[in-house]
Amino acid sequence: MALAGNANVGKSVIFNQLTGLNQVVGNWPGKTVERAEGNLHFKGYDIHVIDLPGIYSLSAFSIEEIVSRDYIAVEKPDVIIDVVDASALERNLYLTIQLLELETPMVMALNQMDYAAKKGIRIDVEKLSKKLGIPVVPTVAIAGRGINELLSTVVAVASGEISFKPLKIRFGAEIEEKVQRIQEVVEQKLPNLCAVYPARWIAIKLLEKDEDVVEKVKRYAGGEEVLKCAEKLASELEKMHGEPSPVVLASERYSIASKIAKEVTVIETPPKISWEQRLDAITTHKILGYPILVGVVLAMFSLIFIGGSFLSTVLESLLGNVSLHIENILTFMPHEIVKLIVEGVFGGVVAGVTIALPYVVPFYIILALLEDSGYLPRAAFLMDNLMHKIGLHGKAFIPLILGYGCSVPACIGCRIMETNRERLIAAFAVILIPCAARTVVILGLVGRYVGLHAALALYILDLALVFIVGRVAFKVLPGEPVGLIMEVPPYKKPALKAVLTKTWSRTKDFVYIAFPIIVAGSLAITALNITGLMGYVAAGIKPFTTGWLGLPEEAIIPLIFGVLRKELALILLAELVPLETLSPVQMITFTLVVMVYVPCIATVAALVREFGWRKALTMALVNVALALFIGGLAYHILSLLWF
Amino acid sequence: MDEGRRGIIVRAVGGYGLVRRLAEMGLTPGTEVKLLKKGPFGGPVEVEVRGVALALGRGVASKVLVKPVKE
Repeated sequence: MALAGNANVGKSVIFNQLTGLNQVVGNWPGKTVERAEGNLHFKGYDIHVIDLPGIYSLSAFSIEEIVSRDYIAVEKPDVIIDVVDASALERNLYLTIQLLELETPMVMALNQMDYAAKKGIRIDVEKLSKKLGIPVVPTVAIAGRGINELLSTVVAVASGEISFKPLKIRFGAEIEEKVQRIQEVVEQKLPNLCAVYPARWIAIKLLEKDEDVVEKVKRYAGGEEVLKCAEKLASELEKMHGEPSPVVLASERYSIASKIAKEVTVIETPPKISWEQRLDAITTHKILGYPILVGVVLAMFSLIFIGGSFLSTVLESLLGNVSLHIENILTFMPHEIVKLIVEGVFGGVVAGVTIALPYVVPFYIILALLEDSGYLPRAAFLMDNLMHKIGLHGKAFIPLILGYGCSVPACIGCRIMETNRERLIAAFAVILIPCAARTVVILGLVGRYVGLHAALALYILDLALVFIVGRVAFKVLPGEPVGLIMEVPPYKKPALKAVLTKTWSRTKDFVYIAFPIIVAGSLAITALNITGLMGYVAAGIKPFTTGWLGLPEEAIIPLIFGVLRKELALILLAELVPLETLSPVQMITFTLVVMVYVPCIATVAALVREFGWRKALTMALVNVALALFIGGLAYHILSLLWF
Repeated sequence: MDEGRRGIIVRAVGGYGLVRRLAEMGLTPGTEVKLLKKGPFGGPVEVEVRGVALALGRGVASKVLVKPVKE
């Protein structure tokens, strides 16, 4: 079965109640959309549950919507549970109506009944069930109420124990007539497509000029004819209403939703102002909102980075001993092999465990807390205006801030943006933000030897870069820029269990994807070093290193190792070249390159995880090119100025 | 419009995608909206529509034409 519903309705809470720890979180194939699935046993049935992404509609606006409707139409789950927020019935019914259009067996979980009651909203559950023609089960998922009844109902529906007749959505006469005319043509010309999607649904979508369905229809013989007929009727409809056809249909659905909602709801005396409303008023206040935001960000930082660096040190000392042990055990092997195993394979694991994990886990916990409590949209509300300057909207603020700590969680945080385009722009900006490791290099080299003002100048230059790259990505990437349209859900107390399960599943997924990449990268660099190839590489690009960047020949080696972890670049540089012998210009150039060039291997792994190989490598290469260009430019300009 | 005022949506102007998305979030012509909050520094506005609070960027909000309801 599949869970479908709007965002913020408690869908994932129900999912967690159903599956417990027995779940796998991953991505939909080729998409940056989280896919959670799990199994459960109930009354002798093995039930596979899939949690579809939170969506408001089944149009082709976002990747989430396309993923959801294709899953429902193609995989044809036995039952869909439509999770509905009882306190916002009308808006939620909009999706319910579209699910009914897809003609799949459905059970409604009317969730957050307690919160609706608090708002003074009473819903006649039986009447709602009769109106929609589907079973409706009231639930309070956070407290686990109604979950058993929900499961029994689902099983009864799937096994055919209860039969019901889902409401056939009928639009107003002039729309209905057009839908039916298109449907006839669709049934006649596209029998193959009708085997996957209901013919009526295809007809409705064609009338709405849904890009994805239009593309699908085009691929079939006879598709052009169908499209021509649909286009004609759609423009007739638009002429009649003076609005685009999707708006006409959305209005139509909403008026059905509104009618049903009004008939089954009784609104009692409006409630007194609750603590949630007071908290909302303070946290989005014109003035007070900002200090609170700063406080939350600082708290988040300290939790992630103090906690993270503590964990990191503990793990590092533990693993350091282990690595000595391994070396001792392996003494019977040739020296090179031992080095390859210890430095390459084990070193990679250590890098993963000590750099990525200690920061990723606290980040996941805090992300889940911010998500579930409802603070995230409020922070976005406050920052929207500023973020527009780099071509993004308010939500991008979260990953950008995280980037100052560690790029890995920041890249993963980019998924809170709605569209792939917005995610990519945010990721481009994020990997340019100097993370804690890069801060070590900036302060340890330039800050210490050249002066704090130079370090500060580098930070400002970096911000300017983020701004420019953001703008360029904004212009270059295809797609329509998205303004902020975001639901602001009421504040809620996050459920500990839901937060922890979310964290656990996401961490597991991260380890599976990232660790192999980190270990492979580490192995490759160690192999280069042992075989002496590293020397050749350094010699080979010497003209570039010394000519363009103005750095000593050996300086390229720390830059290559810096890919493993960026603070390593500074440590190695100090080993190879006495730092005092470097000129200020060389130091600045070196730091600039470290700051901008390819993000560390753990970040690349996170990028691959989020965007796939091609985009991740493109981003990495763009950064290398940018870093070398800027580094060289800085060297030549500064040399002119300095001397 | 001031905070706390209600209005009826006349129509949304602007790009096809935007108008469509607004309609899907419930901002269809003829719907009553209430302006809950105006964000600082020309930031977004928060409106209540169909029992749900929505934040709209200023650019987005300026494309929704609303006729204030006399109170």
